[in-house]
Amino acid sequence: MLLKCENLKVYFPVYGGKIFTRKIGDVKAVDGVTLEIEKGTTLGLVGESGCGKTTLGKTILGLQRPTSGTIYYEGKPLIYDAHERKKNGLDPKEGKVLRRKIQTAFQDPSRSLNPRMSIGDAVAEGLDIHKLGATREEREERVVELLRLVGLDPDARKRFPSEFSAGQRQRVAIARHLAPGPEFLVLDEPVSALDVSVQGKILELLKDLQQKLGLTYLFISHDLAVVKKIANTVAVMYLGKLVEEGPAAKIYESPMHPYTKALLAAVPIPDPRRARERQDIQISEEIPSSENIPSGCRFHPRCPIAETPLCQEQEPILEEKAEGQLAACHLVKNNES
Amino acid sequence: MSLLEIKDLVVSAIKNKEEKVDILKGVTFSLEKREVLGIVGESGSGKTMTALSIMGLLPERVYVTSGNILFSGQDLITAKESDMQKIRGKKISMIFQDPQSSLNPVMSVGNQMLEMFNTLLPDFGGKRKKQIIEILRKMGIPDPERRYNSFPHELSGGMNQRVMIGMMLIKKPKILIADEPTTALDVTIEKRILTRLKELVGELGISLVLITHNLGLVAEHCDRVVVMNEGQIVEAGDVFQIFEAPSHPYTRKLLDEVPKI
Repeated sequence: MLLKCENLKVYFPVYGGKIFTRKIGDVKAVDGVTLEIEKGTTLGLVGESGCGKTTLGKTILGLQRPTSGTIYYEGKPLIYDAHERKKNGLDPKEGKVLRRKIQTAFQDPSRSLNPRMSIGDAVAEGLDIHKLGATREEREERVVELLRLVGLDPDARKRFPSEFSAGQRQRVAIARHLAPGPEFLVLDEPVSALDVSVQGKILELLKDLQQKLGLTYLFISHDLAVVKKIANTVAVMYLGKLVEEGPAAKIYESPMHPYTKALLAAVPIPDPRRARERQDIQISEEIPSSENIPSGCRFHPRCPIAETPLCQEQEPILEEKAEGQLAACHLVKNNES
Repeated sequence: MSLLEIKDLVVSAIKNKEEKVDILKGVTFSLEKREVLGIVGESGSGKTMTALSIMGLLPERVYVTSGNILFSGQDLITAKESDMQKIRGKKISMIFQDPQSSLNPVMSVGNQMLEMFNTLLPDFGGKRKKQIIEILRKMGIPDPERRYNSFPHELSGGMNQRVMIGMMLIKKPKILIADEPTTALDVTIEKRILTRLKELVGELGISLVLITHNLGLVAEHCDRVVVMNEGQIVEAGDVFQIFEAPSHPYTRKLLDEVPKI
């Protein structure tokens, strides 16, 4: 397996107090997440806004320091900082190699591109940082190759981001992140800002690139329909914890956790008859704050089936309920036993 | 007679002295009473421009070149600005994608609702606050007494959008145009908000125009659909007809592209 998070926690301190400022609590953005991603596959991470999915992605990218827990990449702890690496007995120079291997792509391509930099230069920037293009010709050649790879005309490399459509800009952003030759990409809502037709094309491109280059993706999105198109495994996150995880086909066909069921039931179906006949699962829209997480099962105040005192008192653990499918719920029966 | 009739509407943007570009190229549709009409199309198809021309809020350098917009028989294009002000907001209202930018950031949501109440009718006897809290409660906002004094930044996007819809309850317009009202929100909240909007249609007998790029939402909530592409209506009809037997290739293309669960 390529990447593994072990009991990862990311807390943000909250300061307050009447006279003296002191720490009064934590926002538990990520509260003990354990997950594994196999090489060459896509893990779809879904959840509502504020559930901590972006924080998890940022922590993997090294943009956020974990409070506790470890991330392993190819079996070794994932630490970027040279000093930190030294402390942990790792080769300090390897940190930059990891930066090259793990790249990202964000939601809004127009904000991640410099409007005053031609797209060719934007793509080449990664090569310069990692000193990959030795000569000018080599650099140029690589830029042309990358632009072709993402389906853009290499002759357009002298043009500026404003001359491109949103979909094309996202292609430029992807080419830019592919420049240093990554193995692992954290894709944070890469298609949410795009039209449906363009969405489909970018997803196709991502799948295509995965096959050609053997990439591994962590695909973060709030849109279950989009995740279904690309993910091999799906992890559902709620208030900093995973509540369900399993092969994509199983999650969509037979979801177990009531939260996953509610999320799936809320996705609009483009079929007026089926949409009107569909049974509605109502969950309250109020998401508890991650500063003040409910006791017991953190989903119980919104859960349509939580009735037992067990739900309010004891936190369920994420365990295998059916073959390959994990859920954190007291009320989901274990299929094997 | 339909409540709102748009006939052959052409809207153009002036690029420079000689050139102008047609944004809407002859749009014709009508809206009946108590109807939920969906307008779908990709970005740049002219859905929002159609809505803005109805409201008489077209941006600078964009003009209605020809066509009519008839609202209960009155042509809104030739109407005087003073007449438009009586219609805009009171008879035809609009809510936008981003509620945060429609609300005043330095005024509590309760006061904003109160302000609007007072522009319609002066307050007699100071019962307004209670009424507003009742509306907030009806919109499903928890702890409405406290939320009355909250500022927009203290509320989530979904709650702000519900405040906007709550304002519509005060205004009681004949037509409500909702331009991508839930695009920035989570699916669970999206569903709740649209259900609330539809309840309004039933309760107040208003007509709702739902502008969206999401065909799934149209299928779930609309009675009739207008499909737009490049400033033109390519297909219009009953929701079942459009989804089950689309006749235009563009509609079919849109339907094929929708990611399905």
